[in-house]
Parts: sequence; C-alpha cells; structure tokens
Amino acid sequence: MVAYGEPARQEAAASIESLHRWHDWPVTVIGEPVDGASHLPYPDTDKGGRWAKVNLDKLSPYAETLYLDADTRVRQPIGAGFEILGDGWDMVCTTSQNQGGDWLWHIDAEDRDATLQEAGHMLQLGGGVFWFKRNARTTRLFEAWRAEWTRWRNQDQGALIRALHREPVRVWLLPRLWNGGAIVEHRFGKARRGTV
Amino acid sequence: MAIWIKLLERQRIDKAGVPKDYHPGDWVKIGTQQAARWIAEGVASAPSTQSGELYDDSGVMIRGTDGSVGALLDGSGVPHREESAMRFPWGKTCYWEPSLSLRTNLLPVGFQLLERWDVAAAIYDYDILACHVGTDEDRARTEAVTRDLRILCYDSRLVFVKRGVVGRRLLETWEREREGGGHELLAFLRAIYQTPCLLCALPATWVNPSAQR
Repeated sequence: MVAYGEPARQEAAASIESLHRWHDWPVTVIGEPVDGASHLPYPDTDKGGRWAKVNLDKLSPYAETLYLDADTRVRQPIGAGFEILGDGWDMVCTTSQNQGGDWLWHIDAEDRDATLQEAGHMLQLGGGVFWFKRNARTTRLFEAWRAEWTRWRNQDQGALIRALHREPVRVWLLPRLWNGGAIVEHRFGKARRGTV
Repeated sequence: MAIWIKLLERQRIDKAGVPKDYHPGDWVKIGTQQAARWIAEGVASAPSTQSGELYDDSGVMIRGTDGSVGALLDGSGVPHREESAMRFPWGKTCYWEPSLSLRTNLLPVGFQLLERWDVAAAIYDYDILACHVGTDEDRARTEAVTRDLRILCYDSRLVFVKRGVVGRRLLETWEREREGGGHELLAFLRAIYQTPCLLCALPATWVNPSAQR
C-alpha cells in the first residue's frame, strides 16, 4: 500500500482493517506511517504516489505481494490471488470497468495516443489491486513500467499497457468485482490530498 | 518487415523522427505489426497480393465442423484447415469454432500478438464469470483447479496459440479437459489456468462487438 497525506493515511488504515477481517497478512505502507502496518519511508515525488507504485518490485519486502490502493475496502476473501501466483502465474490483475468507448478516458491524450499507437487497443487493467511475485519477468516488466510512466508522470494505466506490450508476463486476470466491486470496493479518489 | 498499406483515414506518422501528415488514399510503408493494427481498426487497407506477408506461417484451424465451413474462407487469403485434431499446422495458429462469426480483419492482429505472447484469447464477457456457467459438478471441478469461481472466462471459440512447448501443453490439456465433458468455457478455463503462459487477454469486443465494459 502507498500513502502520502492525511486522507491517504486514513483511507489506508481503514483498508488494512477491512483486509484483516479476512486475512492476517502482514501489511507494509510505503510513504507515511499508518496504524496496523509496517512503515517504509520513501520520497513523495508525485501527487498520486505512483512513482512508489511502479517501484514496488524493489520496495516490497515480500517475495509475493498484494498491492492495494489506500482507498480500497476488502469485502470478501481474496486469498485466491496468492494461490494463483503459487500455481505459476507471475501477476494477478483486474480488468478496468473502462473498456470500449471509455478506454483510458482519464489519462492525458498524448499518453493515451501513445498507448494506442505502440501497444494497440489492448484491455485496460485496473492498477489499484494486483498481486505479483518477484522474478526475472516481473523485474523486466516493472523496469518497463517505470520507463513508460516517466514519459508523462501522471496516471499509470497507459504505462502499464505499454510495459506489458514490451515485457509480457504471465498475467491471470480477475473481473472488476475485485477492484471496484463486491469483492474489493474501491472508493476512487478518496485518498487524494485535499479530500479531508 | 514493412509492407505498403493504403490509408483510409488521416494519420500522422513519424518518418526519420519527423511527424508528417498523411491523408486517405495515401500509400505508406510501415511495419507489419502497425499495419495489422490499422487494417483491423479500419484505418488502412492492404492489397490482397500482400496478404501472404500478413499470414506468414500463420493460419486458421477450424474446429468442430463437418468439413464444409472452410469454403467460407476460400478466396480470403487466410490459410486455413478444417480438422478435428488439435495440432499446429503453422507456427501461429488460430483455433476457430464457427458458432462464432469470424472477423478476418482481426486475424493479422492476433497473429502479430503471438510475436510476443504465447496465447491470445478474448474475455468472453466482463460480467459472466465461472460461477455463472455450467453445472454444479462442472463448477466444482473447475474450482478445484482455478481456486476461485469469481473469475473471468475466455472465449474458447477464438484462440491464438504459438507453436512451442507451452502451446503444445495447452492443446493437450485443453483436449483432456474437453474429454471430461461439461461446459466449453470451463474446460478451456481449466486448461489455460493449468498452463501458466504469456497469455494476452483480448477485449471482449473481439468476440462480441457490442461489448463495452
């Protein structure tokens, strides 16, 4: 989890509490300290904490990691994510609700156009809930994700699509119920600074 | 490899690092991957004499028919065979089951994706999950493999597979799972789950053009 600013810290604390209703997994928060979690200080370089997110492969203390946006709430068991990694998949991601005409609507036009030109109209993934294991493929993917994110330094979904196009990994997809649905609620935007 | 295509819509293309505007009707020479995408998106067309380049060592294996469907692809420029056996006639094979209407303009895109990915298959429907299809017994068998039934299904009627160890394992597992009967979506889901691979999940619009989200 990544948290910078008071709204994000409050959201993260609630998210951790919701996770611990179902699973006793250890939690680390990158950025600022939050009750119920280990703390990993890391410079706050962008408004959304996305530089920390695209560095998760280096920052996470775990060999297998579940990343949750701070403004999520776990409403049902989600243990399958780690089991899927254990069965040989590198990464478990969720689809975004923004497909078709809504594809990447929320990112800069240049970022979106570059994604379309370079990777094609691929599935939009949600960046707020995902699992990954550390291995050579995911290391290359995160390197590509960082490189792609630094082109515009804003949202991370277009950069993730381009990175996956450059450095594919074994991705198992979950439906949006797991990120913005009945399994994991996503209170989009509630962790932004200035929302308290 | 680069091929000539005819633009059907205005495009800005970098030439030696300099962006240049091209207009409908202009012919441009670009990489096959970009060409395949633009052809699929209706942005450009290619002369039929070049279809061989788009289908280099690629073709369609037609599944589950009486042998009469292949005629539909005759003259399309798409290499195809109609056989019941699951095997690899080409380095890149699209396994097509004709209850799904085939959009041949997407084929070059699917084959190009196999340059990077082992398998490409479309999401069946964003809202129809494994827990929604099949019988209780079929779902229990699936959950024992996939760990959870709150997961997406892939449309097994259109699957692109690259020849190789992983592709061969997928076809063998797929055949084995189908032999046990049950729902086709779940059989393919079990097969693909048991074959961790570079799986490119395609948008549902590939199999259902009206799918939005």
